[in-house]
Amino acid sequence: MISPVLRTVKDTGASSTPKRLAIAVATAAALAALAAAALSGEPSTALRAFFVAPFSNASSILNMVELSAPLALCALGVIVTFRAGHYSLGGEGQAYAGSIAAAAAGYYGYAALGPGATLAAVVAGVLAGAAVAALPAMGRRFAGAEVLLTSILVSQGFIFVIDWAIGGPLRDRSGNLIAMPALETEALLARLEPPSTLTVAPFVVLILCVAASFYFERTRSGAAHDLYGRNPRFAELQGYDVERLSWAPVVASGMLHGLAGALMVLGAKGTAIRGMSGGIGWSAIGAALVAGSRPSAVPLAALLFAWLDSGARQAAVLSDLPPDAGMAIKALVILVVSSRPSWTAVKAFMRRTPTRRAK
Amino acid sequence: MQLATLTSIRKYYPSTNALAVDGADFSLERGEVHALVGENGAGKSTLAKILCGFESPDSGTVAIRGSPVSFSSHRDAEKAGIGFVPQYSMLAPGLSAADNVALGHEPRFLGVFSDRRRVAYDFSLLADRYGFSVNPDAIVSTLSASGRREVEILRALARGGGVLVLDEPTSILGERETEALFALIRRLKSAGAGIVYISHRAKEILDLADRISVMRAGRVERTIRPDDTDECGLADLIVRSSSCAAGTDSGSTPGKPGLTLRSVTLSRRGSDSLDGADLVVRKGEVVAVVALGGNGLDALEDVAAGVVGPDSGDVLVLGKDIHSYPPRILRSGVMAYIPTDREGRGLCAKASVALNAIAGRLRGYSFADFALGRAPLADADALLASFDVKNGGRRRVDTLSGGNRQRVVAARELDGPADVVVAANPTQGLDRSSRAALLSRLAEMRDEGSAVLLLSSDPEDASELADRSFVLYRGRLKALSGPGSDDSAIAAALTGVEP
Repeated sequence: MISPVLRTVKDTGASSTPKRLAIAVATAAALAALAAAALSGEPSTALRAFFVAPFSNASSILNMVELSAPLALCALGVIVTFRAGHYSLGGEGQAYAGSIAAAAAGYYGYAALGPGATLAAVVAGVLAGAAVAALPAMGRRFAGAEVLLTSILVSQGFIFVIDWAIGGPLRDRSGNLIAMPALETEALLARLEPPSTLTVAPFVVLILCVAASFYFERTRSGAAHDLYGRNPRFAELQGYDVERLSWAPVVASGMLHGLAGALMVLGAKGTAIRGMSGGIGWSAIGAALVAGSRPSAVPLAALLFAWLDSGARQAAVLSDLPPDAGMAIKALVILVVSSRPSWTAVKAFMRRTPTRRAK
Repeated sequence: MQLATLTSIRKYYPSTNALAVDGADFSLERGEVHALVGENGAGKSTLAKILCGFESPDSGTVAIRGSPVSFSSHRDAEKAGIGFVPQYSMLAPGLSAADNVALGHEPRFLGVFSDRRRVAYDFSLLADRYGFSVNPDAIVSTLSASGRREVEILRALARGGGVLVLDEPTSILGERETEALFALIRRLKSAGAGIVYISHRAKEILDLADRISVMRAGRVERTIRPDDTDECGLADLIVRSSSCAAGTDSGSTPGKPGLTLRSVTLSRRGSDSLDGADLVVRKGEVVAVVALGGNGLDALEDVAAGVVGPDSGDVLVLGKDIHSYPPRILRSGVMAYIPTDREGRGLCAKASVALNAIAGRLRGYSFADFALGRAPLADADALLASFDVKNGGRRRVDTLSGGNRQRVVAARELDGPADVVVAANPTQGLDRSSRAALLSRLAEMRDEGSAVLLLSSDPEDASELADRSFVLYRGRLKALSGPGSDDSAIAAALTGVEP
């Protein structure tokens, strides 16, 4: 029950988000156990690696939390577009653009700015993500182009160009890794709890999730944003600025993806690596679905996906579980969580009593 | 023989804490029209949905031709010969009329390929048999509201056999379509079908029904024969407080033009076009335009509300081109708009009732007021109370009955002063008392100086409220002489008969 003090005009009754999160966690755990039992020759080792290793010490847990931060930012970006009725699939390219821009600003800006290059890298990442998102956003605004298609086309184009840039003119030739030169340690985000990779990123995520929750639930603009997403014609007839709502959420989402890319560079990775954002777009959509498009549930949803990544990686190292098991489990979790109509059908089927056909 | 029997039906919605049906009993005989009446929210639509398999009762039994049944979906009900015409459109807007009727039961060529020619052929046969004239290839989103209703009816007839449930079927139909529907109902009845007819219109119920069941607070309170009552008596049974009020007359003199249409033409919309429409609605008057479906009423609504621009001619609000107003300004006290398409334009179905109620005044709140939530909630409560929408605030608006949804739209749009009011079929789905309250509010706004344009398929709305009336026939406006023109004159003009 919501306290009258906390009630807003937007409340529509009990939220299904906790239930959705619980289903996602239970499904992920069951599938991970099943994968370990079915695919590994050493199921007990695989199970231990999946379920125990990521939580075996404080450092592992903090690494997982750090890993979840960029994913959470991307999921937040997805929610911003989903709630405006746009389905942007270009998150991966936006995050990748954020990464290369942050790496370039951090590396080349260090000579001029010193530690201030960190801030320059963050700003460059955000702007690069916004620039990539701006193309589908303007297509929507001026030509009515469908964001679903244009975002993924533009994103794929940028991914090819960035792959080429990192592997070609911007590559650090001193190592075997296809990556840009590593940033100076002073230009990276400080590690708060070495030897873990934890930085300030998860705290930034928490602040942004609280701010986004406040925006959607407690501001007039957030209410208009939601109404537009649910019925654009209604929003237009109520006199809302639908032209702005047709493009601004897409650009805002690009900024969040760009920030995610920048934080990956400034955190654990230390530079832009070819393919570093691979799969983050789809994982973010999955996390947004698990979170029920509620910003307040994003950190937990992102943490769940980070655990699946981390657990699958540990299991692949410590046992013979295929490394792609984590990806498969993530896909199945998304399928289960997003197939609510099927659950309704299952429930109806279970309730069903024989229909006696009238003659 | 009893075609359908519902015994002690109870339905509770935990999510909204609403007991929609509370031990209702209802039966339908072969060859009978059984009307189900009651105030908005009395439980009529829920009971009908239970009969049609859209909802499962918490307790009670449903029997078809004497055999108890338990429908888990509407498809089961269709198999048992029950057709349903919903109050608001449940059609797929991007598909053609014929595809919508065939949806889920598409004829197959060699058991695999969709047989589109057969779909169109079957549709044409069905439409011809029942006297409808909808183009099978017309995309549903391009049809007028009454055209969509005809497709709904054909869809129900294609599936249903013995039992047809009609929920407010005439709320947006013109006189001609209504007459066609009544003739159809009588034909079906004489062929042995049973018809459940949900409506608020006392006159048509008395004309059509063999029995009338009155619902109140989820129960069937009384079942009577039409001979046992008259129009006013039935209205009093539906709504406890008497609602047989006379229309209101304007006490003021019309002032400056509020809304002006000058030689407005809107073509390329098939029969729903406008052909050189000239109309001036002055401040302090109600001008009604009545039309049968497909004669340009939807087109007139679109241009008058500024939803589309005319191909030629001018639409002026307070002497300025309507499109020169930024949408925000137009909707802030300049124009109030009640659309015919309530679900698509009038409401945001997935948002709360409270947010729908205050959607038009969001900009009026300070940042702090909206964040704290008290002022918007209090405003929403006050607005909803003004049209007697109870327990609505936090519910999603699509959990309300059709009449209550219409009240939410009216509460929002007819709230403060407005220079111009465009009200298109504003009484659709409303019971008599709500209808009287709405018409009285429109009259009040006129007296306060608003220019009110009433667009309706129901001549009764026009005769009760309008100071001047027009008929729209094949896209052309024709003035009727004086307020309260008699019904035969309106009927003649509606069908293009010259005096």
